[in-house]
Amino acid sequence: MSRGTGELAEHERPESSDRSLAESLIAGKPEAFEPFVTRFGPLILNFGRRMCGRRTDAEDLLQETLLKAYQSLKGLRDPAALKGWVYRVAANTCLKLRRRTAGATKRDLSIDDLLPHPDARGVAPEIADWSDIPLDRLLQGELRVRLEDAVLALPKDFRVVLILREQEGFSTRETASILGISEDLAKVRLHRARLAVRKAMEGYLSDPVELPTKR
Amino acid sequence: MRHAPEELSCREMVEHLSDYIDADLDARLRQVIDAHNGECPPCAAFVRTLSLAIEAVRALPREPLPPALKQSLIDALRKAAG
Repeated sequence: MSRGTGELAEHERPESSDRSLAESLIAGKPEAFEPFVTRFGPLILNFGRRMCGRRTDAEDLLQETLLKAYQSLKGLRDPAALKGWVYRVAANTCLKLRRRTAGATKRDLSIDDLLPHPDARGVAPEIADWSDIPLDRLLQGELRVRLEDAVLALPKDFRVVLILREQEGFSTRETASILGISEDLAKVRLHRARLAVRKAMEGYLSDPVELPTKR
Repeated sequence: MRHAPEELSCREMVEHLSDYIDADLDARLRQVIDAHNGECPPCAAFVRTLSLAIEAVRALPREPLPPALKQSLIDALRKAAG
């Protein structure tokens, strides 16, 4: 069921509200700080958790992002584009922060590494079909930790695309714009990141089924 | 304009899967992939598990902003504004 604008949570407010919020901040109105933090605090905290892993890093990222975004707001051409602006600052800041964070994978994601392969005799691969596991089970306990780890293990350039698209709800075009990359590159990275998460989860879930394949 | 092929190998099919799952494919190519999956249970399982993995990443829970952190951020902004 759709909700009316009046029922939107603070962090879901549309662009028109972002415009007036950005204009108030640019005008130096201190009363705009509270709605600015209410609007973007939860969003960037979540983005930071998924990008950095550790809570303390996410909180550092949040503070650095809000301060930088506020201090650089005069460079924002379209006040209605405040959300993308804040995420751009967060992404740039995060990529720098994570250079100091252990565990960040630096390698590229090769499509060949993400797909099942025939064995040495050319026999078709088995695919573990764990799709009957209820979603809420995947989001609890050890499986949730594995899923979060699978996201965190992605190389940084792939992880940021996956998070902006799947967790933060940006379109591929918006994601590409935030990161300053082409839409085609964003699509490639998103696809490989998704395949990598699937492959990482496969190791933990269900029994493989051997079935005929078409090659 | 490129026409969709009549058939796809498993490898070729996987390359289109994100667009397939996002419903961002033309109808003909979608039909080709549906036909492939109808004859290839491993690929069908691959699509189902990929879809579930994507759905799970989207559904990972979000944490609320603790009130103390919110207040410290407001204070930091006020300080930065001088």
